[in-house]
Amino acid sequence: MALHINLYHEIQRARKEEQYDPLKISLLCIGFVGLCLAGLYFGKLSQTMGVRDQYTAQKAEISTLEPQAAAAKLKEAELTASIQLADKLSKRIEDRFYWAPVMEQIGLTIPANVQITKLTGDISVTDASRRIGIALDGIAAGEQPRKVAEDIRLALIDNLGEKYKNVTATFRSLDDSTEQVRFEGKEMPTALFSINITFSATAVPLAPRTVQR
Amino acid sequence: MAKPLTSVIGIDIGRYALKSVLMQKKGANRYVVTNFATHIVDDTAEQTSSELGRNIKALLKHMGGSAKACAVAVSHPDAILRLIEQPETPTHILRDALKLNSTMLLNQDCKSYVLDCELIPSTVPIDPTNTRQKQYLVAGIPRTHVVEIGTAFYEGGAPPVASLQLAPVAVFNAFEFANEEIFNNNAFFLLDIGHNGATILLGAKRELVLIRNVEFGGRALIDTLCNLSGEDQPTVLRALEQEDEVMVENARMALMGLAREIGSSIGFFEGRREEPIRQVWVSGGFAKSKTVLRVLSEELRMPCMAWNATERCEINVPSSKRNQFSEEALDMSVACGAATEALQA
Repeated sequence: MALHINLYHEIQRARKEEQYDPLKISLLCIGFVGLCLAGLYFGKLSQTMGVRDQYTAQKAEISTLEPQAAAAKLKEAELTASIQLADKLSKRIEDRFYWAPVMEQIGLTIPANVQITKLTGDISVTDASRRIGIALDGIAAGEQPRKVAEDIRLALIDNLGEKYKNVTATFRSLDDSTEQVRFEGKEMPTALFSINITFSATAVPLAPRTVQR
Repeated sequence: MAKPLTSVIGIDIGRYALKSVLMQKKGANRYVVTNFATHIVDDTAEQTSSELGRNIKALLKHMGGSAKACAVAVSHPDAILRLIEQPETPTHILRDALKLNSTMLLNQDCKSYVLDCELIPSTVPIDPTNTRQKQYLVAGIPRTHVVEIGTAFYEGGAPPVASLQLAPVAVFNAFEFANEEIFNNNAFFLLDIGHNGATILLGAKRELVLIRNVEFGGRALIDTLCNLSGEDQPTVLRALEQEDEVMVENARMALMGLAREIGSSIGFFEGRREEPIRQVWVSGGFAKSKTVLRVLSEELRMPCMAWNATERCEINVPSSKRNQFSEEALDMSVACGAATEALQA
């Protein structure tokens, strides 16, 4: 084994110490940590700036859109009012009461020996439903005119009850008349009657038809 | 733990020349020399760090190739190389103790020195009564010189310095690498003839026993030969190569002092250890001269042989430089020692 003498050891050790100087290493570490923190700071700063820019842009957009939104709100109110009005009108139209079928029923119900002298009708609206009121005045002729009037009342209840709910027909007055009328070549006594008919405006749903093949 | 090096440039910073080898470790026991270079420097000029940086840059450019690190071996007149005895101490603690208390441990104030130490493996106890006493090799050079070398390598654009070694220790390591069997089993005498001085290293069975610096190097030999013959340097060298009788005699006279120092060192060693020194292993610039080796052999009455530090390595240098390498390999022991030490660390 050779004799290992190295007279350069002091310089080598000094260089190594210089290379691995704790102060230098710690300064490098601190510098590195500082750089990292600065990087983090600038990263966060740019992030914040980005968010702030976005906020400013959105704020500017909001300031431009706000008058438009107010105008749109006004327009919306106007349109809503119009729509409500239109709805009301259409509802009213859709819910209107058709008198023609009632008149047709009454016409079909009244026999030839009875004469209608007055007919008035009106609609009373309550919270739940609408009720139709008809006041019918007339002269009934026959051997027994009061019975004829009663038959008409019952017939009205039956016929109108087919189509409408809660049909009531009551005499307001039923008086014998002194007048005689000729019907089918015979003189017959008469009776004056007034019937109040009420029923719900809602029609009775029709029974499903059976289709025969 | 640092990753082991697989390629390294071993550089010998001498007073006269800078030498480098690029060595690669290819396996557990396979080393390859791929590049080498020698760069002569002006030894009269003062070696500043910038001048040395320029020379290193030129050396590496001349060498080519690249490596992950440099292993540097340096010789310096003020270098300290001592063997001290200490109770067994971890080397890092002993290093700090040497730094703080050099006056006590080395009998010299070394506050301005960079010191390092290494335990020397010993087969024979130093003090038979105290087996805990160990022998340590302490090496040091002035801190200013270490800083200069560091600056020079930085300015020269060289790979980072992995280790800085003293040239004599690098020679010892290179001998271990090149002649492992002799290093492990015998007593050995190493003589490294430098430009300004020679280094004597005596070891036995892995143990470094004696280190001595002798103030007699290649320059002193050439100067003496020139003075004795009255000729200029190229003529003297040519005459020495041709084994001119007069020049051989002059060389014998010039080498007498060195031979005496070697003889006394061998005597000291053989007096302490019961092992004979059978031959002298010579490295350095003058190891290439057969005349010098012959004269030394005759003076010491024992064979003096040049040894090649790259003997165990595969030589894979460019074919154009192969002849030059075989001539200069004997002078590369310091650079090779530095490189092998870094590769084996």
